[in-house]
Amino acid sequence: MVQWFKSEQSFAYPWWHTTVGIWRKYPNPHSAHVKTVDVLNRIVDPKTGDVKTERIIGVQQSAPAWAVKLFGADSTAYVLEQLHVSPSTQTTRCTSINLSLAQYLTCLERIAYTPHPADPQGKTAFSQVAEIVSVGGLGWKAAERKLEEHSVRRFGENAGRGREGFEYVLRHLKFAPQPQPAAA
Amino acid sequence: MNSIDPSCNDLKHRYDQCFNTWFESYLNPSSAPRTPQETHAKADEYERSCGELFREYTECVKRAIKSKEGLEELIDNAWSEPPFAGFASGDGCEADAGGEGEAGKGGKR
Repeated sequence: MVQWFKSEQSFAYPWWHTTVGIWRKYPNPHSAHVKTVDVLNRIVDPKTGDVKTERIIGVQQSAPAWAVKLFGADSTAYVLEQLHVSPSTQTTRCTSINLSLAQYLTCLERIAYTPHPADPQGKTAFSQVAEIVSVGGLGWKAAERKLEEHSVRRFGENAGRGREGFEYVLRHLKFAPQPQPAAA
Repeated sequence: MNSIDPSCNDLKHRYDQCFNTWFESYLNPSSAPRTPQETHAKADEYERSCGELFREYTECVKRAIKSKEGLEELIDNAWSEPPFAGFASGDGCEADAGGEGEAGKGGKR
């Protein structure tokens, strides 16, 4: 079984401002559940100028009582994230998946940030698609469906909080005055 | 923000600071590179400024992951399939590939 969550939003900041903000998203007042953020790998490609980053994020999730019974006590759940920033195309893509509890359910999320077509200099378009799949580890269709539906609902709530948190960070970002690049 | 292991926090904060400062100058239109030569120079600048810190920090994270039972295996499982396979091997834009083609290159780490 697969369920989808899709969302399109915009942020009232230029694409570069939004992308700089991604690395400063945590902590924020709406993200108390995000406990740890680490870079696993990062490559800056001198030819293409692309920046590829892999991260692992630790999240404290409180599950409903019936899930706690199934999965045991609350603990840190981990998420793997891959981010690809392409300044030449002004595209930032983020793909993430839960590592923890993946034998029961996977939530694969794809996000893209691009200049907003209505205001490419001033706004960022945000698109998000999450594919939530129960993987059958529960061996019981009704529980799987319940888990999927709960996850989609929960995803929607978290997505709203995630957006508020990111808005907060983008609003408070301060940029350092920049020297001009050296002549080639 | 904390690292997965408190012993990596200091390295994490120093590396994040280094990268964030560099990345802001990389994208801010008033200082962003405008030619392939400038882009190359900017990438070199990142390596010079943050490369050593990056290696120390990520080594600490790798050790921490190994110390958490089962976590390394979960990561390897995710890396064994699209769209996560082959990401940091420099093999192109897996995020645009729609899940095709990179499966054979997973697990290189």
